[in-house]
Amino acid sequence: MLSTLPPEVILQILSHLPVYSLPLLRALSSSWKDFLDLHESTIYRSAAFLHAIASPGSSLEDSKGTHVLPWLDDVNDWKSFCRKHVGLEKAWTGKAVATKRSIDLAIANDVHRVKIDEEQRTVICTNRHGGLQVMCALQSTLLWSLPPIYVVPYSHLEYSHGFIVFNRHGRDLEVWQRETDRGTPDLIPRPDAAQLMFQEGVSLDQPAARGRYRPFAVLTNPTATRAYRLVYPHLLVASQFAQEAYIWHIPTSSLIQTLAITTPEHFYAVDYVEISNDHAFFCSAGGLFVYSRQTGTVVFEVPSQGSSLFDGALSRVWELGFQSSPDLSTRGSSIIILESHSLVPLPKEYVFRAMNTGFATVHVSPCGRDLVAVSRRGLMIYVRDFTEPRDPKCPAHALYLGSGVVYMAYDGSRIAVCTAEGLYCITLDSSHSAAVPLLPRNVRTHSFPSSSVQTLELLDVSALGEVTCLQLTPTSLWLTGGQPTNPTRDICYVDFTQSQ
Amino acid sequence: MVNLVTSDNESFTVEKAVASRSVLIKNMLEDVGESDQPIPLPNVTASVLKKVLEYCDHHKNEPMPTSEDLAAEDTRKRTTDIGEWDQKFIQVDQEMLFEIILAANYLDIKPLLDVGCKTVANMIKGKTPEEIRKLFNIVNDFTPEEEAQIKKENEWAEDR
Repeated sequence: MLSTLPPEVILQILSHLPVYSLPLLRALSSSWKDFLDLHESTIYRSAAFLHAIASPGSSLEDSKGTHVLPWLDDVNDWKSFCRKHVGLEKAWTGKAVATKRSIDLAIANDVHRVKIDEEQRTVICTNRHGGLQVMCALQSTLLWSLPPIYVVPYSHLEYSHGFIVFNRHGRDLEVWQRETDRGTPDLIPRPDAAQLMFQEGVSLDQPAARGRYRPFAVLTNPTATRAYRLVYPHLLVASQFAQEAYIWHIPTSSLIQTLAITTPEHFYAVDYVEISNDHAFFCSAGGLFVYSRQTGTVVFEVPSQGSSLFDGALSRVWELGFQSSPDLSTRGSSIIILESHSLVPLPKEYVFRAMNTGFATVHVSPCGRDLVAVSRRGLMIYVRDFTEPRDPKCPAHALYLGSGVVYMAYDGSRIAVCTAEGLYCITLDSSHSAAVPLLPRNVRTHSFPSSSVQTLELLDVSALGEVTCLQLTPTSLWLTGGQPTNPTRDICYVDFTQSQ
Repeated sequence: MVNLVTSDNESFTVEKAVASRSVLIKNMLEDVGESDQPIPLPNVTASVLKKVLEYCDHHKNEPMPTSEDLAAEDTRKRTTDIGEWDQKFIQVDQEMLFEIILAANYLDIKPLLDVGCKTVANMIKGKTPEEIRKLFNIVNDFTPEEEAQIKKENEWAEDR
């Protein structure tokens, strides 16, 4: 009876089906198989829109986006495009294998911070002993560097939209712009003499140009800096001693706002900051505080003492339970399988203990509405729509991940956390996008708002404390470390794109 | 009022606002101007038109979707969401469901076509090929070898 419908109506029906349902229809009968094969491009294009891995109307080429890994370079049709994405999702959720890779030690062996430029496929890092390097992500070749004499040891590094920021000394922060973006209109570079000494005349047609940066500005803060975060076009800087924070506008190199940090816990130094279009986020031993940039007042807080966030909602606080190893036979030295965990409720007394020394790190989703923060004692909280009044039945979600929090990364759909006890990947259930999940939802784990919480056995537990940085891209997870027996610190990453 | 005549020669008199939910009828009315001439609908039977008009009557006061809305529909929730009333409305036997879809397609009533298509999609979702065959009376004409080959080609989409 389905066959009485005109093809365009059948195609419309199929456009509502998730990608994992489509191949089954090929198995129905030969006429169905012929129909699906004939309209393959249309059908999988609709599926890509349904799952929001492509936006409606966009071409396949535009939908590929820019990725540090070349996983979509050879893709020429919508079906392969969908298939690659399904494989990626499987690898992130422990249903397919991932691969461990590393950047050659000879180039980067005492890495402190690492950042990824997806557009130019480069890895940018600062070192414990000073200096900054830009490397080709795939070939581990050095493209450009600043010497240790110029970049201070343990320099914190920020990267966003072709700009890097690192600290010079005291109050000064350096801003450098990617050479390939030279001449972008509406930018006012204000480099200083010291920076210009390291400017190299280089022609853009040299292959190495993609890794080069040019002096852009030195931002002199009113006081010594402690923590900073760049989300282009804004840079948020927390002062080391003054109870204030500064917001810089990068394109004009100008200080546009000074936020007074007025919370009662101000006597704690700020350890970590984050910024979005509307908010500034601060982590300290005193707690987690979110300020409205417009009003300069606190709009969301989790003080380390006496937070009411979980009053009456303790059933929503979890810790990791059993680990189930997936049955995948192809294990090898570089092959990694994320192991899934069940979750069990965390006893009430631990919840407050896990928060009472404050927060170590916070990140906001690209849409600016959701946040993830991890307390110093390893309690991760996920708050959707943090500025909205809390629904008492659904205040926030929390997951205890063990003490010794090292680093956390969050891109709006996945969270990666490194603690002294483990490395965790959490794939959140699709949030505001209302996109249909690429894989059928697992109803078994419906405790944290995530279809899957995974452990990544990448490093020895003893090496986890050595990790100084963690970066998340849609296709990969990057971190410093990787040689548990070796005191040097290189860069390794997990490639989630290889499953077939 | 507009007078509609079905393929089985039954005549329905409805408000213009109701009939105009169909872009086909709306365009016809605009083309002929004010007229008492009955509009023949040779592709729709009375039982189906009755059902379709019930839908049009319920939704008559809603703004007509513009082409922009339809484009935006793609980016918005275009998934399985069917309104509560629509869900009840579309609870009909399979034959009627397909008749409604065909009529909505012919009469150009986008929202109704959408409800119909989503309903069929929801029937397919989560079922095995055997279950889908049974549901829609599809005969499996593959040889076991062909079937094994297809199963192999489909492995990538299977969930472990």
